[in-house]
Amino acid sequence: MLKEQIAATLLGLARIAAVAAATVSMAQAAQAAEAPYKLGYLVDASGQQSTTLKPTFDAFQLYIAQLNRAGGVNGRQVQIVTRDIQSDTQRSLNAVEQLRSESVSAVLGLGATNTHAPVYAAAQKLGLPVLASNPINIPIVLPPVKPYAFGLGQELSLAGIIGGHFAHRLRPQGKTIACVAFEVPGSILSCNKILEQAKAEGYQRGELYTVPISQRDFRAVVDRIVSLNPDVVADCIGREHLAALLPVLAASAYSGIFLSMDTGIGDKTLIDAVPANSKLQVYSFTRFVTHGDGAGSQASALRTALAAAHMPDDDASYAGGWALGLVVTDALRRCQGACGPDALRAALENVDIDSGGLTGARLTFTPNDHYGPSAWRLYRYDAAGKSLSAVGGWQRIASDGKLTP
Amino acid sequence: MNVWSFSLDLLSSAVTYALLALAVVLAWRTSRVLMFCVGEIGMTSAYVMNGIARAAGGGVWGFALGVAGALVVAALIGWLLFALLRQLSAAGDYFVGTVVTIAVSIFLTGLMSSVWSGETVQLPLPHPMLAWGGVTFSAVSACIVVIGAALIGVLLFAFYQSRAGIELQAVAGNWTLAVLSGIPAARWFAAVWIVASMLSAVGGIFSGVISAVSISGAAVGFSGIVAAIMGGLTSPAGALAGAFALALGENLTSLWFDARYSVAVPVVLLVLLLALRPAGLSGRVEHISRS
Repeated sequence: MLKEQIAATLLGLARIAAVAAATVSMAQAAQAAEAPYKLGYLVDASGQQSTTLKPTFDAFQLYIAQLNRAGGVNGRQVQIVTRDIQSDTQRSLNAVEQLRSESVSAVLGLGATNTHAPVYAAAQKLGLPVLASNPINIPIVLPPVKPYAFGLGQELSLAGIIGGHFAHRLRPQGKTIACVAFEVPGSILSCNKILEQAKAEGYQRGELYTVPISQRDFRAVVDRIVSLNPDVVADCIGREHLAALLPVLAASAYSGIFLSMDTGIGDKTLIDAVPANSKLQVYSFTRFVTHGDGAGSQASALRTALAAAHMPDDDASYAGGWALGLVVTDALRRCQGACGPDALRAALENVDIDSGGLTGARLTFTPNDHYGPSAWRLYRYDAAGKSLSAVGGWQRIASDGKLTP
Repeated sequence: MNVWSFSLDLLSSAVTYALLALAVVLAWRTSRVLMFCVGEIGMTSAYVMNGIARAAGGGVWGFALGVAGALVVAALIGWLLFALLRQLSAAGDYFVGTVVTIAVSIFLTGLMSSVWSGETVQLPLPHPMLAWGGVTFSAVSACIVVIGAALIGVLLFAFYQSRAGIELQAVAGNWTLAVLSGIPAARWFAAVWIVASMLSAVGGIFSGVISAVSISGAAVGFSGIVAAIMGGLTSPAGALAGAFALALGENLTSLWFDARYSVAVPVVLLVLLLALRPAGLSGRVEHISRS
C-alpha cells in the first residue's frame, strides 16, 4: 500500500515536472519565434568612401524602418546591427568576428572593394553568408558559386562589358575608346572589360589611363586624352575623381562622348561637374533606376520614403539599398526555424522576386548563381535642363557575361 | 599637345605646392614645428569658401566674400595653433608641437566629415579657355599663376626686405636674444602661424579650383610638405624650387609615362635629395677646422 502511494506520488511529480519542462520549452520556443531577425551591416559611414557607399545603407534603413512599422517579417522585427568599417580591411574583419559573436544570420553591405575578398574569406570560415550591396561588387559573387558569397550591386566585370557595349551603341562607327581607371584591381578590371568589349564590337583601339587613388589634378591626363582624341571616354572611378576629371575634360579641346559608370557617383556629382556650356555629350549607366526613372510599386514606395525623409531622388544607390531590403525580406520570409546563417543562406539561394520598377530584371539567386541575371540602363545628361533621361530600354546580361536582348 | 597650356598648368600646380610649402617653412623657421595640417586647413577653408560663396548667391561678390570668410577661418585656426604651441613651447619640446599639428589635422578631417558630410563639391567658378596669340590656355590656371606669384612675391619681399621680416628672422634665429633686443617675439610668433594658415587656405582653394573640394583633397598638403623638405625646410627660395621640381616631375610623369607613377615622384625626389644633398636644395655644409 505504501509502495503504491509512493509510486503514485512519484508519478505525479514526474508528470508535473514534464508539464513544467514542456511549458518552459514552449515559452522558449515562443520567445525565439518572437525575437527579431538579426542581420549585420558593414558600412563605410565615416571613411573616405562614405559618400559612395552610405547612400545604399541610408535607403536600406528607410526600407527596414518601414518594414518593421508594418509588423516585420513572419511577425518578427528585423534588427540591423551596423558597424562603421571605414573601408578598412582590418576593421571589416574585426566587425565580421564581432557580428558572428552577436549571432547575426548574415552580413550585408561591405566597404570599398579592397575589403571584399578578405571579408568573404573570413565569413566563409565563420559560416556566415555575405550579401554585398550596391554600388560595386567583385567577381567572387559570380558563378561558379562560392558558398557564402552573394552580390546585389554592380559587379565590375559585368559593368565593364555593359560599358563597352553602350560605347558601341552610342558611337557605332567609333574606332577609338579611352577608359580612365584608378589604381585598384576592380577599377582596372572594369576598364579593361570596357575596352575589350568595345573592340569585340568593332572598335580598333582602346587606351587605359590609370591614375593613383590620390589623383585630383587630371589636367595632364586630359592632355593625353585630347592627343588621342577618342570617340568615347569611359571611366570606372570614384565620386571625387569624377568631380575633378569632368570639368577639366569639358573645358579641353575634346568634344566627344563621356560615358560614366555610376559606381556610387550619384546624379548630383555628375550634374555639378558638367559646365552649362559643355560640348561634351555625357552619359551614365547603372543597374538601378535614378532621377525619377522607373515605374512600379517599389519605385513609388522608395520615392515616397525618400520624400518623407527629405532626401532627394538623385542617386541610383537609393534604389540599390531598397532592392537589398526586398531581397532580405524575401529570404527571411522563407527562412526556416530560428533562421540561423545556414538557413538564411539556403533561403537566399531561392530568392526570385520582382523588383517593382527598381531595375530592369527580376532579382534572382539560385544555388548555382549567387548574382543572377541583371539589367542595366543608359542615361543621357541634358546640360540645359540639368537632368538625366533614360536612353533606350534595359540591357540584360547573364552572370556569365553574355549579353541578352 | 599644347606646350604653353601644359606649362601654365604645370606652373599653377607649382604655385599651389609653393604656397603650402611656404606655410611649412614659415612655421618651421620660427617654431621648429613641422606643420602637418596644411592640407586640412586648406580643404576646410575651401569648404568654407564654397559655403559662403553659394549662400551669397555666387558671382564675383559671392566669390570675394567666400575667400574673405575662408581667410578669416584660416586665421582663427592659425591663432588656435599659436595658442596651443605657445603653451607647449614653454616646455621646449618641439616634437610635441609637431604632434599638435597632426592632432589638428585629424580634428579638421573630422570637422569636414561632420559638417560637410565629406561631400565632393565643385567651387562655383567657371573653367573657361582663353585664346591669346594662337594659343589656348585655361583661365583658371592663368589666374592661379598670377595671383599665386603675386602673393609669393609680396611674402618674399616682406620676409627679406621689410623691418617686420627682419625682426621675424631675428626671432627665428634666436628667440631669447630677439626678446632682449625689444622685438615683440610673441606677436611675430602669432603672426607667423596666422599667415601660414592663410597661405594654406589659399593653397587649398587653388587645389579645389583645379580639381574639387573633398576631404581626401587634403592630401595636397603632403606635396607642400615634401616641397618644403626638399628645399631644406628653412629656406623660402628652396621651398619654391622644391615645389617647382615636384610639379615638374609629377606632370611630366603623367604626360609621358603613366599617371599612376606620379605618386612615386615625391618619394624618388626625396631619396635622390637625401643621397645627393642631405641638407636640402638650399642647404649649405659648413666645414669647421681647427689649427
